[in-house]
Amino acid sequence: MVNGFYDNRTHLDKEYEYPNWNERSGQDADTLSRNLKAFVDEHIDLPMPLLRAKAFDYLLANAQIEINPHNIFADKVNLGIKYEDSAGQERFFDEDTTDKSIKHEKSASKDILTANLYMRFNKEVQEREIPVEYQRNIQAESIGIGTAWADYWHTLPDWNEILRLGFPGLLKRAEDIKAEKSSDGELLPEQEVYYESVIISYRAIVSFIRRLYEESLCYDIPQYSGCLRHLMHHPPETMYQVLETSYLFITLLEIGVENGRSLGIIDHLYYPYFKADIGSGRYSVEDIREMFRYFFNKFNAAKRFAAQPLALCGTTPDGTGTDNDLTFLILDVYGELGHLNPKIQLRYNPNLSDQLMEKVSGLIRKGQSSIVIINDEAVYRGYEKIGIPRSISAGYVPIGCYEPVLMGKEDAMICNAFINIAKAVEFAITGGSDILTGELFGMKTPKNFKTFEGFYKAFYEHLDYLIDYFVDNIDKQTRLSMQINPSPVLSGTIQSCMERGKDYFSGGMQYSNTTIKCYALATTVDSILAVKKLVFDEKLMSFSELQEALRNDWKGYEKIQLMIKHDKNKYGNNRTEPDNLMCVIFNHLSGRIVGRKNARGGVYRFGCDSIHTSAIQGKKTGATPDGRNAHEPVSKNLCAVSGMERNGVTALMQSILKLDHDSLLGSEPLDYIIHPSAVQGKAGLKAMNAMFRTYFAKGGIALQGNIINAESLLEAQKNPQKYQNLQVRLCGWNAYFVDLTFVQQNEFIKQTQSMRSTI
Amino acid sequence: MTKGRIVGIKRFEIHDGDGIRTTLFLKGCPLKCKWCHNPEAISSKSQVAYLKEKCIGCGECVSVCSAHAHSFFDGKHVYDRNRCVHCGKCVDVCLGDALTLYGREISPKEALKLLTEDGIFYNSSGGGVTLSGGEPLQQADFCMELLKLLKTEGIHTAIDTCGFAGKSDIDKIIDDTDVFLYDIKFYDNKKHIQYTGRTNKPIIENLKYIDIKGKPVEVRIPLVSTINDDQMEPIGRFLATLKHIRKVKLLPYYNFSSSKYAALEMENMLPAVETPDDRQITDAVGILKSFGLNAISGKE
Ligand code: SF4
Ligand code: SF4
Repeated sequence: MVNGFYDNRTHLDKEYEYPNWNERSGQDADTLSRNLKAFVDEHIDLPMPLLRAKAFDYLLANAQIEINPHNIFADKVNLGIKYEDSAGQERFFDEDTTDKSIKHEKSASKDILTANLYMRFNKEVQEREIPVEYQRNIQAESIGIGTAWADYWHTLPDWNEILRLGFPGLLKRAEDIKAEKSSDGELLPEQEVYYESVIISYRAIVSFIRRLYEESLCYDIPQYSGCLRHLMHHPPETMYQVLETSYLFITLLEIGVENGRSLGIIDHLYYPYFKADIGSGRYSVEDIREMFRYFFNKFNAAKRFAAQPLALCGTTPDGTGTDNDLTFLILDVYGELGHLNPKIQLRYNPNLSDQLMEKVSGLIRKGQSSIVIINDEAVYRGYEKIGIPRSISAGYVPIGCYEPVLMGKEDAMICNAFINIAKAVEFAITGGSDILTGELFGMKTPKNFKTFEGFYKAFYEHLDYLIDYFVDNIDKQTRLSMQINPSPVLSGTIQSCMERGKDYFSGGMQYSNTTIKCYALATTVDSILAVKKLVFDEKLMSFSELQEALRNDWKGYEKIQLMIKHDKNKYGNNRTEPDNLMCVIFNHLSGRIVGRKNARGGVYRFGCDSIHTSAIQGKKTGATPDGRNAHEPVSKNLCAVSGMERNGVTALMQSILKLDHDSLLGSEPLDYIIHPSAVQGKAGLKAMNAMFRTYFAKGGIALQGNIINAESLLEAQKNPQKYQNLQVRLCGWNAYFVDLTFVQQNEFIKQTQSMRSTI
Repeated sequence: MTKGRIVGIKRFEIHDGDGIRTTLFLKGCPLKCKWCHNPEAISSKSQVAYLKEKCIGCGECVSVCSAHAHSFFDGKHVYDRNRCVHCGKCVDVCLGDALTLYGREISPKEALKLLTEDGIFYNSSGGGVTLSGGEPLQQADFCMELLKLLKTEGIHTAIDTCGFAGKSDIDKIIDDTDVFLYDIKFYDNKKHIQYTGRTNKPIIENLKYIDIKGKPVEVRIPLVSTINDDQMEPIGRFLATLKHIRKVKLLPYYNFSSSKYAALEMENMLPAVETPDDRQITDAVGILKSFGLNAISGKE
């Protein structure tokens, strides 16, 4: 019944890059952008939620649309995004690289609503309400410390509710609750605004589906039109309608700058529809396979930013393993297409079958590094640490890169800050100022130390100062959410938001948490040990010579730099001294962050992942005592400094496992790099499976990585055209190797080369 | 306590027996196979490998070597192998990672510590520790002590041997060895002598002996085009007479270790033959299977 994916493919892969807008269907993107701006100015006195909803409505009602008759899903709306600039997989690593040999394409021009609402009000409101913090934030970013955010970029709608109620059902619920509260005389003014914003948004969505439906009538594809007509009036009932609903909803969220960062645990979520379709004979398994080809291909064609996450498996309330026949079907199609967008987040529990684990291992080994595996048990323990029991956390969904969130209950703001804590070492050396610019940030401490202990103490003073600075800044920003980025579409899916009449970001959720991430821990540990050795233990240089060496990026001190780089006492090799120091620093950070009350009635969560910020902030960070040169990336996640993991993946795992993972709440992936020859053949799949299981049994949180050798990367660097499809996993992101900057490529190659496993 | 002279340790190894293993490579081998990929393991004496290309001329080696084996001539670093007494000091300080010492001595206890670092991965994968080389049985006493320690820790043990050893050496280790990885290169003795420098009589006899003792054996055959690809049939016929051959693995020869020879200033006798293609491997596997053996390609 459903067929033709491969026949239609030429019309699918580039459908976003070369759209075919029906020009009479609405305003072109430039006009629309201009008109929207005028519309916003005209309605500037409205409360922000209403302004937001009306702007959303204006956009959906007036943008050009398109039906691609070669596809089976409809969603296309002209927001002026330039997909040929690799919208999703932009070159996200260095923004101002000095390497001019690399052509820098920017990401997709920001869509219209983002530009007109979020960007504008984020700046305006902060400048007005918290001007000092706003400036401090810019300074912290400019000297490589990092930025404090209110994270509106990682959200999770309640997919159960979306599928249960459908678009018209969500609208009706909002209307009913508002009417009920109003007739009870209980409606507060801000609640009225809130409900109204949800209602306007969902009316806009239903009308938009009607537009798509009417457009689809121009083509003779009854099933297509039938699906859209159904969704205008009812919740989805078939697999086909479910997939259309999911794609459409995730697109609409993004248009509304509400950014849903997972499709949910889709093998569970979709399973009843799958069974019903097969049971009733409506569709065959092959039909559904074909639907998934179209479905997944769309994410890739749309180059969705940072790749669209979706989750698989998970523990049922009775604790049993949870792969099903749909899990395998999904993985089959995923493997067949070989894309990195969407990306898969597999919830692991020990009951998952070997068959499934080996299948997943096989995909990863084949190069689908876009799969990350997350350990349920570790996540449950993390939630327990902030007082949330297993009965509630059992239903968590990984979003973004791998971060767990309680669907329908928790807004975790999973990325409020990424802090480059190597700056605390730098400040302890300089007495509080940035080594490259001389700018003072924060407190003043002595500029010289007679003992290691004195220096070490100063390090913690700066560390605490930085954490407290971030907490303060985040708290102040998140209080402004309703003035900057209310989220009616998202909130409309959440039962508690609807009952309370409050937004997703402002009191609507049962748990409103915030998350601080610290990285460069390995650079920090290795640097502190280097200071101890060079200045205090072996006295190879004085403290002021160290300052001079770092200020001059080791010029004149090359030999000492080489010696310290060569020193084996480095974190990440299962060695006692550096690993112990890592534990101490880690515990210090988690003690200061985990469970700390935030400004939204929730608590702080802690993570140690960096995504690409280790490169971005590293670029602005001066030389460090571990021998690192200025501008090089600092260490990412809880990984060793790249090039310093000399004992292979098993040693790195054991170093990481020494840390108290319960503090991390799912926010720490181990990036493994394994040479393909080490995991060849059937034995290789078994070994990968055993390695994953062992790591998780010992409490590890998440695994992602690359089965790759340095030679093929070097080859790809020389002949990029031949290696367009070579995927690598970097931190929480996956990318085509050829899309990385030269500096990033080299960094990755260096890490791959050092992953020797012979000592 | 007998010290062992080792080449190195490899972790996360899946090709030297079942599961995730750590392999200890011991130094010294009685055979001189022309295709040897591990020239650093042939001599039972210690050796320093020097990779010219990696030397950055830092001069650290010169200042620590009391044997004056390192010097600078015309601004270039020169290493004189004949003076070297293999103390390893220069290797530890070399800033270019240009020097490697093959033949460090360690006690069974020290070895145990290194070999159990990945212990957590052994159980879940059915893995353990493999003693390889070189030829581990050249250091049978060390192996015996080490294997005993490993067994007290409950670790699965394998020995990767070429089989050229005395029966008494086999007796020393057989009880504490869970599985033998046993190399057979030729059944034809003349060829064996021609390409390895030694007779294969003890190899054949020892295998029979191990088989009688009832120990499981995984036979490994390096497949070298034009050199031993005619041996599959006689080898198969012989193996079919044994009872405990669990598996026969074919390891296709790759011509890629010549830089190691250069670094050790050893004569490279690697045969200039092509790597067997998949077809050749499948054919060889087929012949072995026709004798009822569980033959597989090492690439699988
Ligand atoms: S191993 Fe010892 S003797 Fe040989 S060159 Fe190095 S320092 Fe000199
Ligand atoms: S120590 Fe190493 S890098 Fe330095 S001169 Fe000697 S061999 Fe070369």
